[in-house]
This record gives sequence, structure tokens and C-alpha cells, in this order.
Amino acid sequence: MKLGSLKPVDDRKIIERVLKGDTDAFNLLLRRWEKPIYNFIVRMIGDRDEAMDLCQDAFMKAYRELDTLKDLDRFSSWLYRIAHNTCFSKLRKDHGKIFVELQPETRASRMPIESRLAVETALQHLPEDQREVVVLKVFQSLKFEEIAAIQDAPVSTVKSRLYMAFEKLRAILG
Amino acid sequence: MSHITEKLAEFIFEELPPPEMAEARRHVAECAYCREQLARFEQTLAMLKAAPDLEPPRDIVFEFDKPVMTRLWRWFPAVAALAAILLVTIALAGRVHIQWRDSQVTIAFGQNIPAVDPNQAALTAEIQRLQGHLAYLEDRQQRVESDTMATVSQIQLLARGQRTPPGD
Repeated sequence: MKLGSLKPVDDRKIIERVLKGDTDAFNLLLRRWEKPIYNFIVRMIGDRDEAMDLCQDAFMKAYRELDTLKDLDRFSSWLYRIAHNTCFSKLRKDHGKIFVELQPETRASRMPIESRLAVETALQHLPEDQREVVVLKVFQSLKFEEIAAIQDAPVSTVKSRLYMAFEKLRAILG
Repeated sequence: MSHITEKLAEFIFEELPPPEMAEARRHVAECAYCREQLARFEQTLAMLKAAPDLEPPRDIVFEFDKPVMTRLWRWFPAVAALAAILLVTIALAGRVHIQWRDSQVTIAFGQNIPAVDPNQAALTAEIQRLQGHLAYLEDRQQRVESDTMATVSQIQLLARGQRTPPGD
């Protein structure tokens, strides 16, 4: 999914409905963004059950704070920022906890599910900032500027994190 | 042009401005070092992308609280439809008679609504008017009779006084 060109107009219309009191319309945003946000959190946290709870927390926070969103066309970036905060709050809380139990395999002809497990495992070996850049860039297709806004960091820092992450991933994944 | 190492990510994800993209493509075509860097980056990228997205294990659905009246109004169409069906059913069974006349609905239970003849209605109204007038006239007659009796009494008293001789 190209998040840089993410149907902001449609999101905007839905958000306007929610802000006018049509609270059920928020479920339309949920349907649209649930999967990408869930996958972002899964890859950041490495625990699928925990990711579902955090995903729900992130959307609940988004609903409560929707009226603070200044630019309705930047809902996706704002939502990822909330998911980012949710993940980092959890990661700080669970500092030192090891989620990864699988050993990454070699690159030789993996099935999709094996590939996913290998990648999830490899991602957990990255520092959180680098892992987030990889997830947002490779899997969520955000632009560098959007990632910089989410991480509250310069674009150059984001790109450096991506290069460093790729070097480590190449070593892990083979 | 120097190597594109610092712009490698933007080049791969096509976020360079068009002129720079064109220049970078030309450079990569000529530079073995940058081609190798590019190939390594793309290889890692391909491995990452081989991992498909997961489906969320369940849907998140929010149930939002609504004002009580809003919830009640949600049932209004169903209740109205039920009431209409009930009335129609009873009317068809012949136990209730419904009539729309002069912007008024008349519902009669257990009997037919009597048909009203327009001429009959006008006649009834005229009778009522005449009965009212008759009552007025009867009242007027009683008052005239009463006044007449009083006047007659006074005349008789006066006449009796004149016939009595002084000193009787």
C-alpha cells in the first residue's frame, strides 16, 4: 500500500463525519487502517497477541484525540505517530524482555510463512529506531519525510538508520 | 557524478526529484561500484518483502454510546409499522371502523360509523336554530304576561280607590 498517496480525501470525509457526531463512521477508518497499523505494531513488538491489544489501544487513543488533529489530510501520519508512541511506550515498559525465540533461517528457498518468521526474528535484532524505519519504509511505504515526522528526527537521520538497518539485516538474513 | 551511496535509498524508493533520478540512473549504468551497492540493497529489500502481511486475528469494533432518545427513535419506524399493521388487521376483521372526514379520523369499535346525509345535517342544524329561537320567544312571552298581570293589578287598585266615597 502506498501510504504517501493514501486517499487522504476519503479519510478527510470520514473524519469530518466523525467530528460532526457520526461516531459510527470511525469504524470505517478502523476497517481501512486496522491491518496496516496491526502489521506495523506486530513487526515492532514481535508478539501478535500483544500487538492486537496495542492496536486497539492506538485506535482508541486516535478516536479520543481526533479533534486535536490539525491537518485532516495527514491522518495516516498522525495515526502512525500514535501507533509509534504506543509501541515505544510498550517497549520501554518491557525493556530487556526477549520476544524473539526463533532462529533466523538462511535465505535458501523459504516458504512465505518461513520468510515472515525469519524477517520478524531478524527485525527484533535491530535497535527500535532502525526497526521502525525499516517497517515504515519497506512494509508501509511511507516517505522519508513522513517517517521523519513520526520519529521526530531529521530526514538524514532516518536515511542513516535505514542504511545501518539494512547492513545488519543482510548479515542476519544471509 | 560521484557515487550515489548517500542517495541510494531515495534512488531505490524513487524519492529523488526527476532530474536527479535521471542522472543517478545514468551514473549507475556506468559505475560498477554503485551497481554492486544497489544490488546488495535490493537483495535485502527483496528478502524483507518476501514476508507477507498478517491478517489481524480479530476485527476491532467500537460501540459508541448514543443519547437515550436517539436509541428510542431508532425503534420508532418498527413500532409505527407494527401499529399500522395491527389497525389494518383489526379493521379488516370488521371490529374497528375507521373513517376520514373533514380532516378528522373517526374510529368506531364494534359498530359501523353511521352514514351522515348532508341534507339531513343541514336540516338538523336548522331545527336546532329554530328550537333556540322558540325558547327565546317563550321566555319573552312569559315576561310580557308577567308585566301585563302587574299592570292589571295596579289598574284595579286605582279603580277601587276612586269608587270608595270619602268618609266611609
